[in-house]
Amino acid sequence: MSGGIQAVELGVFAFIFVAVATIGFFATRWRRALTLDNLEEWGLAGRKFGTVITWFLLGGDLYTAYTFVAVPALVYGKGQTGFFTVPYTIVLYPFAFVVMPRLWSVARRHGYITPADFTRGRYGSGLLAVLIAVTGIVSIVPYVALQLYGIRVVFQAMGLGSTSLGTPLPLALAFAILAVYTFNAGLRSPALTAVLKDILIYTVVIVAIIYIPLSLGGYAPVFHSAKAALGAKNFITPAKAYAPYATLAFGSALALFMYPHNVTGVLASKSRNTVRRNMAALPAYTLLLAFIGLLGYMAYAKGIHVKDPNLALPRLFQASFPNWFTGISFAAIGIGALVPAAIMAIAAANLFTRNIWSAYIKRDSSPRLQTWLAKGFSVLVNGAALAFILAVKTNFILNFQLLGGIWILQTLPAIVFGLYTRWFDRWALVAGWIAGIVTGTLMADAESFKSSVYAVHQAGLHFSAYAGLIALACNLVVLLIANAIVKLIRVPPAHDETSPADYMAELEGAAAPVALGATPRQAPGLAP
Amino acid sequence: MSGSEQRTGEPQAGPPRRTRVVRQWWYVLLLAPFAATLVPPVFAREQPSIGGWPFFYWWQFAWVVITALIVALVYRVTTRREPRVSAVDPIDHPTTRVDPTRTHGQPPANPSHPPANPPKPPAHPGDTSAGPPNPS
Repeated sequence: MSGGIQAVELGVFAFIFVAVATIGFFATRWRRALTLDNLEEWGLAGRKFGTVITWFLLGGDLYTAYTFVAVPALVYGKGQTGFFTVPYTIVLYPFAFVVMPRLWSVARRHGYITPADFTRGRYGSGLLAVLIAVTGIVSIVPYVALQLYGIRVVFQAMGLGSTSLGTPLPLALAFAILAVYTFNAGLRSPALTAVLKDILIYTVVIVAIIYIPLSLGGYAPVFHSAKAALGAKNFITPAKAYAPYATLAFGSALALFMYPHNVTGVLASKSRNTVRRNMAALPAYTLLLAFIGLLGYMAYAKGIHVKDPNLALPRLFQASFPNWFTGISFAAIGIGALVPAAIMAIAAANLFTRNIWSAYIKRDSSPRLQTWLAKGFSVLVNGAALAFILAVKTNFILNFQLLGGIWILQTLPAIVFGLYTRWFDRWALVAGWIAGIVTGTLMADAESFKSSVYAVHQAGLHFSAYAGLIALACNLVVLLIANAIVKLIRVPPAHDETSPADYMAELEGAAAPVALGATPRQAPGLAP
Repeated sequence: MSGSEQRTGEPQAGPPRRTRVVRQWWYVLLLAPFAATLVPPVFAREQPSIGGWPFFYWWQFAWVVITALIVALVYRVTTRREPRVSAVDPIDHPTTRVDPTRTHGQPPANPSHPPANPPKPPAHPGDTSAGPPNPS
């Protein structure tokens, strides 16, 4: 199984991967707009995805290819710890059901494309918007790199790792496809591809969770062999791991929709109720994810022993399926990487163009220039991710991504609280953000960036918890204190361009009426 | 989080205020998944197992489905289905429900001179059509 190149798998993989990427490339023709030369079209596909497309798009966005490799790897390597991803992706939805429709409404009313657009409009603060934009871009790059890493794991499993040029070359090829495909059609490509990808993913996983346990004699032996291999304390969460388990789940759930690419997925939908409906429908992916986690246990039952836990899932598929079906399942993972990577690159490009370039470098950029800048920046983000994956050790990318999660969580007060109240001042939010980023980074550093769980031994407190959540607590304390000071010295509040009704607005199928101040949207073409 | 949508003090639209407040209480249900899945002492045990699945596992898997049902229920009971009337509902922005694929062929809507089209009732909540709304 190891060593030689798996020709059939590779052939099936390459065929499906290229076919789907080509379809994505021609997505410009789908629900054709007169021009793609404005960010609303390139970066949000005109905000007109209905419930079904949004479900596929957000599904591909929230549950990345890396998730599909990492969760079974974590379960294979560490047992119960890996299942924190289940409560994580459960509580995500009640939270998002309440919060995200408000963001959708206000963004639609004011033509916001990024979360930083919202904070600028809400708090009238360019600085806060830039901090949010930079946090988003910095957190996204290692996330894109992890998608390429997911592809690399599949390449390794297919035997491409055996030669020195084995992985860089196909990875560069995958990157080139990704870059071109994002550049050309913007958000339409991942949306269209997401549908095809999920048909593959659901087929593979449903076959896997029925066929593999059947060949093993049901789920009882699966759990039994996992318990035997991992030991009881890795099979059911022990008391001292309660706090890390719960805080990782809760903190990650709060962080996930703070990532700009997930905001992009939400804002691209056509109505407030599309967003709300999806929060009831997206748990289908959580169920899928939970079962994919169990595949890590099935690997034990199947007698798979690998040093690199990332290979547990590919090896399980190779041991259980005929070559052609393994090829299909690997193609599903490969395409599953393209979808979120493209959305991430688009989201980062939107942030750069709207909140850094147009806000500071050239205020009167035309929509056409903005769109070309965004397209260029998306290639840059993908290129940075490729450089990351080729130049940097895998562990470092993982650690960087953990750090990105901690950082992105620190933007929560500005975004989520801002959706409800203007009581917090921009300067207080900036102070809280600094406190959160600094404490979060220090905690991650204290754990040598290897774990996002930090052991607190201070002020008579002894517990371990998700560093991102502890940092958020520091963020909130500083925010409250700074806010009190700001109120005491009576700093005049900045202009808030939103009104309470904006947060409940239900518009469907119409263009946003108000453009963002300094960056007017292009008027739709007049020619019939 | 429950009832949080009232805090902004936007004008009460659609159904009478009392109905709306009663409906807001349904949001409390959304706290159940947090209580059920974020307190490991509740479910970190092997027994009772079902069909070889330890409690720890089937409990969390079951809550994926229960959460989806809860969110769907809250969606249904909190989604207004009555047609909204523009005169009493400043939220309802005066826009036509045009086919979005064709908006580019039409002159841009001028925000200062909203077209005086009667507002259309919202799409049926069960409508899962991915396509653009039909022009009417």
